[in-house]
Amino acid sequence: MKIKLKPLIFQYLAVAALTLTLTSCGVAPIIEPGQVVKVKDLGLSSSLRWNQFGDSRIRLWTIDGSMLNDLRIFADIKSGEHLFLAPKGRAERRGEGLLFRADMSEIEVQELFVDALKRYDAVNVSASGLRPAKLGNRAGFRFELAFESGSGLSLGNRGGLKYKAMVLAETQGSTLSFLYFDAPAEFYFDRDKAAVEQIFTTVSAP
Amino acid sequence: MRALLLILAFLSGCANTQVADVQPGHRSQNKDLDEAGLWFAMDRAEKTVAAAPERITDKVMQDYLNALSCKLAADLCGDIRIYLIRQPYLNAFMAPNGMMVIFTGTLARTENEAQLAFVMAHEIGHYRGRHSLENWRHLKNVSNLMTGIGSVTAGTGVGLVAALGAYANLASFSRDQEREADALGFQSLQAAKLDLAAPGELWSAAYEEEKVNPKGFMSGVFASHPATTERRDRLKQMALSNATEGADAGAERFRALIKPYRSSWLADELARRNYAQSDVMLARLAAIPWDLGTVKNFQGELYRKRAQPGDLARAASAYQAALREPDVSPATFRDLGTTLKRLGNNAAALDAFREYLKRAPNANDAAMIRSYLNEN
Repeated sequence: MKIKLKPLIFQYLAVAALTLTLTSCGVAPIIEPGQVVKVKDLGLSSSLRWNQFGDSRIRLWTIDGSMLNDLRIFADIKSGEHLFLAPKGRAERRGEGLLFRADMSEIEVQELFVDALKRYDAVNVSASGLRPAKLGNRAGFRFELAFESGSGLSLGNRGGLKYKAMVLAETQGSTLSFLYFDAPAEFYFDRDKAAVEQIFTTVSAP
Repeated sequence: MRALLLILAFLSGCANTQVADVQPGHRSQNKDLDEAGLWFAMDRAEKTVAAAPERITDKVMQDYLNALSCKLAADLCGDIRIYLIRQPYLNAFMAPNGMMVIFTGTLARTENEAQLAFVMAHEIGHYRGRHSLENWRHLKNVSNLMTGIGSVTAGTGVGLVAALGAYANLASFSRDQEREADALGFQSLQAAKLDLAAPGELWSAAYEEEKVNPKGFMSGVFASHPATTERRDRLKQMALSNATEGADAGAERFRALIKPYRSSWLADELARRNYAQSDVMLARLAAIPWDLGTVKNFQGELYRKRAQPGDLARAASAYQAALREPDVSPATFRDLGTTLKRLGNNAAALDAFREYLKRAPNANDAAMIRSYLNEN
């Protein structure tokens, strides 16, 4: 039986990012402390060493491995694109899926994250702390999420692992860019939270 | 999903072998190897269900479901275990070992105790008739069936509960089995003095939703039960010819039970983003004079999220209608404000945001709302 620790979307993202890395060779696999990384027009750096996967608009950074501490950077998501730039399913093709729209408010973007987590098998999803924040020089917003991994696809997986997440996002210029960090609530999230907060402060965005 | 449906279609094509009804206290015997294998698999699945984070374990809810099950199952009461699973679909199924799984989407859709009771009594009917075993007997020679279902459904977008449905039902039940389960369900409802019109009403409502279900969405109850107008009409006819004096729909008891959960279940429903079905469902619930503030608020939520041409205006109307009802959630003001802002009616949007903060000054998103007010 498969053991699934995270919602399916994150497995998709991890695999997609790894595939992109293997095929494009355009992204450095290791981010050294202090190194400035560009994702479209976002720049950011860290005082820690991270592993990196991804392409021009998506990056996955992890210290100990995906599913233990994942920082995802999405840049320049356009109106009508999937929140996680995932391939469009039937609902998305009908315009009803997990699509970002340029006229969404911050409340609705947060709601989109909640619906996305539910859609991909997370359970007991809650959002809190929606507030204004800066993403580089852009007016943005932050919020926190909590959820449990669902039982998912496998009878051998009982789910129930508690996660915490935090999001820094902005929707200026009719596109969505965001940094999303999640980790198991037990140990990893609290250990790595300060390092991620530090990364949030390094973001430059014209 | 397609893979699961193919399996179900394949399984449902098999003929059945009649087996004797289950007796109280029945456990499969070692000498009866095929049933023992089935029970072993179901017992293992039940452990997963029992520990699943999707399971609702609230004692009041569990006690209610247990009591209703006992009322319906009579002599089989002690053999049946109920698990309520947070999934926004109309569905329930009964495994041959006595495990009954009910999705919260069923309770979100049913209007009263009698409708819920029929769903449960119907499933108990399958259990009493050992329909899963009948099917299993014809399938046992299919190599590694259980493994096959598991491997095919893995990675196809079929959730645990859907996969369990395939395990538990082992097939779409045949029409004869469905008729037998319906008949047994009716008898149970009659014995419990519950409203016999409920099955026809519920099936009618489910059928109306299914008619607008876009291709590719999980079908809920229709994944394992034949979707026919014949069945709907038969259920209605059975109600007419078996009218019971003093029958009760149990609406008040049922409403008190689900009220604390209703908003979260309706939010789950909209998170499916199958708006055509949700629209039909909410329109039906809005015709029932109960908790209309909640229902109209979610109609507004649906239109706001769908945001097709004309939807934002519909959303604003629905929120305003919700606000005319008693005990409406403060969040309705926030959502009305969000909608009005998108419609370009900033002054009215700010009024709605102010009212939201007045009613919920410590809301989780209060800082964001205050920033909207400070910008103007």
